[in-house]
Amino acid sequence: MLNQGIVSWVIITFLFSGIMLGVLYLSSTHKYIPKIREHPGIQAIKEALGRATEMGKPVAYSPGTSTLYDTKYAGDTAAALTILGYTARQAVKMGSKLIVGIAQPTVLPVAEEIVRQAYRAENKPEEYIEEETVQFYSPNQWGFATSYIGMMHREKVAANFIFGGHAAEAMVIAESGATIGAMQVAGSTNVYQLPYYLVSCDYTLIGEDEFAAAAYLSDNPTHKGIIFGQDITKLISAALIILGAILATFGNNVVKTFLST
Amino acid sequence: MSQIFKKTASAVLLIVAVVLTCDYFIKDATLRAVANDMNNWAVVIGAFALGLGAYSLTVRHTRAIYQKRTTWPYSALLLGTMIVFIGLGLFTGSVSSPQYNWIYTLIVQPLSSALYGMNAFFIASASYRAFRARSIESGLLLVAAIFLMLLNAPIGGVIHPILPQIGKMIWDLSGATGMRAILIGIGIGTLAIGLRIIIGQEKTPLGGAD
Repeated sequence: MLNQGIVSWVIITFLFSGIMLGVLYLSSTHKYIPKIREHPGIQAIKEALGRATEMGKPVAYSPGTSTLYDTKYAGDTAAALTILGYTARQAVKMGSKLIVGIAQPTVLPVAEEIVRQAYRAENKPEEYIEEETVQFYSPNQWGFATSYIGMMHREKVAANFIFGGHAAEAMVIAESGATIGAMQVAGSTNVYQLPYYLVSCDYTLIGEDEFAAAAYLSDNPTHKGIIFGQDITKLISAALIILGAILATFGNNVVKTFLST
Repeated sequence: MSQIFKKTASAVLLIVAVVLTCDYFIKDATLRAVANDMNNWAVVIGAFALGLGAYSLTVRHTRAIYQKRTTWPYSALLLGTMIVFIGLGLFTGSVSSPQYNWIYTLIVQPLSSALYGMNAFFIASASYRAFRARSIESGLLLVAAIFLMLLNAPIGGVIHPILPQIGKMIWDLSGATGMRAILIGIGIGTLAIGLRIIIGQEKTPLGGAD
């Protein structure tokens, strides 16, 4: 019935999902709302937006070159779009010009709707310019990179946000942003691109930080509950690793056998 | 977006997510066929969305030409190239025709390769900034990077055989363990965002705020 070799995956997935949904239920019914400190990455987003406003220069945002149905980076794209909603609203509130660069046509209508809603929410719908505020470039990674870099140079952006799934073009974009002196905040779950972001950007949301930031920035306070759920599952994972290592040291491979079942 | 549309979209999203998740875990031919169909729908929707992208590009660049912006010649070049590519595809009836491939191989590929090659220069400039030993952390980064460079460059082993071994130890112990910790976190984070989307708490993929 079950596909071979994934019994432990099924158990862990359902266990972790149950924990997260349980915590989400508790927070949504106000039985237990965990206190979550503000992530330094979110402070960096606010700081970059404030800097752009003070300088009177635009803000650039990239939600990545992946789609919403990409098997590996769909979560990144979804998180990047949630952060976009917050960034757009803050930029409109502060009076900064926002330019969003889009690589995937499937992401385009979603991003347009999110940004449009942000302008409407701040009672400035007339400032949203069709095809200009959210700009489609190219699904080709290098086509996107050149267009995005060109836009950053022409508009002399003061803040650049790079989220979502990016591949080799990440380095070119981040380093170009650093060259023009933009304050940059990036986030990715692509471990191969993270070192490039770390050296080129002012702040980097490493791995799941991007998802946590998306949940934190969500308008719905109950979403923060899931961050606490994530932390519990991480503790279980760490405990499983330590237990497995100790048992394996004494010749007992029960954890290893379970995980490979 | 109307509330009815949003609710319908949420319901479709839930069904698709449940079917695709079950297909991953359960061995069933019918489920596999349904999941394959759903994946094909995504490809078809993606193809339709490409039209939206082309429309967006055409409107923006036509506006740039019409308003005689400083970049209007580039806009004209882009629109011209787009017309040539679309025309050639329609005229030859295939995007794998020799004529289409000729343009692609001689223009797009070299440009892509050139941009990819630029990474080397960007890595050098980024490394220069990162490796300035201004703090204990950046100092450690610099030392680790030197050992890793000596591991990968042939000169490392020539200087002393122990140098590549230290680099390998840094890579295997610190690098691999750190990367695995990040990967476990990413896995859990992906599960969390997936759950939020499936249960309708996360409305972003539907283009709406919460």
